[in-house]
Amino acid sequence: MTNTIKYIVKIAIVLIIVVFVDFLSGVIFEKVYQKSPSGICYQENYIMNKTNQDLLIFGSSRAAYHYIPKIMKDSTGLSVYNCGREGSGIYYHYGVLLATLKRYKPKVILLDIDYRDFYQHEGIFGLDILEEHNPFYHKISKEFDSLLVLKGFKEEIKLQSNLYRYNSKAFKMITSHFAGGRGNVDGFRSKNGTWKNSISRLKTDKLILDKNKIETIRKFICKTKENNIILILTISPYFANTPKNLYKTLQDLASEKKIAYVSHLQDSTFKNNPKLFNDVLHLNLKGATIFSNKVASEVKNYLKDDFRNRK
Amino acid sequence: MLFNSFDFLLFFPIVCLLFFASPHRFRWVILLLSSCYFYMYFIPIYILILAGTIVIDYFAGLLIENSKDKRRKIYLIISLITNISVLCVFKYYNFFIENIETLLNLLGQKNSLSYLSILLPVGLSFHTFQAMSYTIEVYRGNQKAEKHFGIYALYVMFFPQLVAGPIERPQNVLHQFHERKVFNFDNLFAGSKLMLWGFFMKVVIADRLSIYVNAVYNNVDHHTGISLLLATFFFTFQIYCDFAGYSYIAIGCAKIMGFDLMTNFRRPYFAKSISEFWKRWHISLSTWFRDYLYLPLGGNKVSKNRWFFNLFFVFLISGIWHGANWTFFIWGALNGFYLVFAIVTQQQRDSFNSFIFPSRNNYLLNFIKIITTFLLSAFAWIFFRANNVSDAFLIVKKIFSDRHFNLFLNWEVFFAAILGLTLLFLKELREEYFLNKFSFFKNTSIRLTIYAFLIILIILFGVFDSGQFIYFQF
Repeated sequence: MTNTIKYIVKIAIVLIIVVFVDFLSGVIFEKVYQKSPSGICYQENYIMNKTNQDLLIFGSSRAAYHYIPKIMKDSTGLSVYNCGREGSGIYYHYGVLLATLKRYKPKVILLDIDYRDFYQHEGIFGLDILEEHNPFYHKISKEFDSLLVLKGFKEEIKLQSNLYRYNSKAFKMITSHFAGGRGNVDGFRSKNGTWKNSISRLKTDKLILDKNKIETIRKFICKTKENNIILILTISPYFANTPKNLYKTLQDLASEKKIAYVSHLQDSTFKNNPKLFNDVLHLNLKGATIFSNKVASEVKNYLKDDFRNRK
Repeated sequence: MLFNSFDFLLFFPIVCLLFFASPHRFRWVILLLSSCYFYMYFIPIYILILAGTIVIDYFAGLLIENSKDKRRKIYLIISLITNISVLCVFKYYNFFIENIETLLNLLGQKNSLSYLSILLPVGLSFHTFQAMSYTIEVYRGNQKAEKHFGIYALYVMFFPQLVAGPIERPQNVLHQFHERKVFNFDNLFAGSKLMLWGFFMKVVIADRLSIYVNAVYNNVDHHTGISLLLATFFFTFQIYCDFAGYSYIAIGCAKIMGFDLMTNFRRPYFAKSISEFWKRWHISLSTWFRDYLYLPLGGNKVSKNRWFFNLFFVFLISGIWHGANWTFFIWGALNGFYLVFAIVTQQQRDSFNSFIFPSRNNYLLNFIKIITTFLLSAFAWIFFRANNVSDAFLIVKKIFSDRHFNLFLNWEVFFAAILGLTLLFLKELREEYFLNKFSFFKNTSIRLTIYAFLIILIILFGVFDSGQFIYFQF
């Protein structure tokens, strides 16, 4: 019996240390994360906690590299921030929206939609990206928390641990503080390469619509409508031949919900010019400049005078 | 079911509870049903294939034991052919067809041959070898045929080692399933420590390194020689930590339940020669090949040329065992070549070493030997990891000749490498050379703190969505 008690005490000591460190890490990591001076942690923190601009741009890396806030601002007269983030999909964008709405209501949101945002796709365009929002669990709203546990009840159990919430952030926090991060201008980051290959076909065989993603897009649309936010769905160009009906589902949804839909998918300015692209999926700085100017004037058309006067 | 999954963290304690709570006579049922559930978590229907080979091998064992003369051999051959056929169909058929097609195309015969659309049953290579080990040992008279069908089925399917070994011998394991196992905290602690270290190696080191390795090795054209060199270095540790980590978890699981499985890795990167490396790496597989292929071929009790052939052939087969791709074949051939070369040049190297380093226990000489062995195995791993032969040769070419020094650096992986590999190195260095030194590690408080620290590191830095262990695919 004495031996049994001895072992139970040892197990208890290990668990107590782990639980204590877990508790402490919640306090410490939150501060370290929020005080990240640069890099992805700084940008995430800014996007979730500090934006206050009139016009926000949401999307994946294609948003991050395609929309130049300064050009949008000069054209529309609105303050602009680019919340685009590499490897993120609609689940992530919806989380950002919920976090934003907790603090304020932007006047306009541009949501750049990648085809992987509504077709089945493993990995980052799926539920995996939600782990990037883990540090904000129990800090935004119940709806935000329920988004994070879409993976299942196991995820909900894991998220009770502060250590687990910062699992994807641990090294990023270290690099943010010691190794610096990539620069950005109001969230925009530029790519400077030039694509040298000829145009090819985007691999879209065997694509299956993802009902859960489409439902999330619907929720996104409804949430912006509830909060009187002008939402514009945008499709930026690929340097690839895409099937004409690739975005039909999205187009129909925009039409049903009476949401502005701006597509540059078949825009010949870009399709015939590889020099405007860094790679098949991303424009380079020159391409982004041309694209931003085009979108800015299109956005201007959707903004009513009285809206600008309200500002 | 993967070891590094939430489901396993629920599954294993439940199985342990049921196992120790059950009367001894029903425990094999608990373990067998759990093993079936574990296996069927992947592709349920494949359990029928496993069941089929278990039935054949079970009866083959009984028939071998009860027969005389030629019939014993016939039953053994039937058993071996069945197992090898299943392995060949699922693992090598498509590879075989692909190469026939290539050959026919080269000869100007354009034919479209049909491929099998099947997934490889998980752990096929491992449990097949374990089953073959049984019938061979019964044939040799080293093991009595198991009369209890359930116990024999459990021998093949025991879930801790079902999908990636260690490949056990019947003499070591079968009798344990008949023994009454009593729960004790010593086993719980010993097994838990092994599992903890296994999880650390897998989710903190191996899976973190794989992020970089995959990014580089899957885009060889776009990376410089120095990035490929770093990726190769990382892969050397990724595969070790992935596979050894799995083995530790498997051995630890079994230990908690009172079963002792064989050691599968013994700090292989401290080996001072390729021969020693293969006595420390995947020990269960290398001893399997030694006992069932190398020695029956004559081992080293034959002429020198035949001896070299035996070594080379065994490693070729070992390479093919790892996968249906020419890269594995080249990897195996390279290791075979290393061994033969080492034997051929043994005298010259000994003379050279004793001339340069007169003292026998020269630390510098040992250090050079360890580094050389490490570099040779790292070079061979290029072929193991490369997606195809042309990628492999391109990687080699770039590593040795690329003059661009742009390093693709992922800071997260870099920090993980420093942290994880430092801890790994310190632990293994202590075990290799200073096992009885640093007595403060025996202090209870320090040990408990270390265990807690490892758990914290696993939760904080582990990669939880990476999926499978590398050897899983075999």
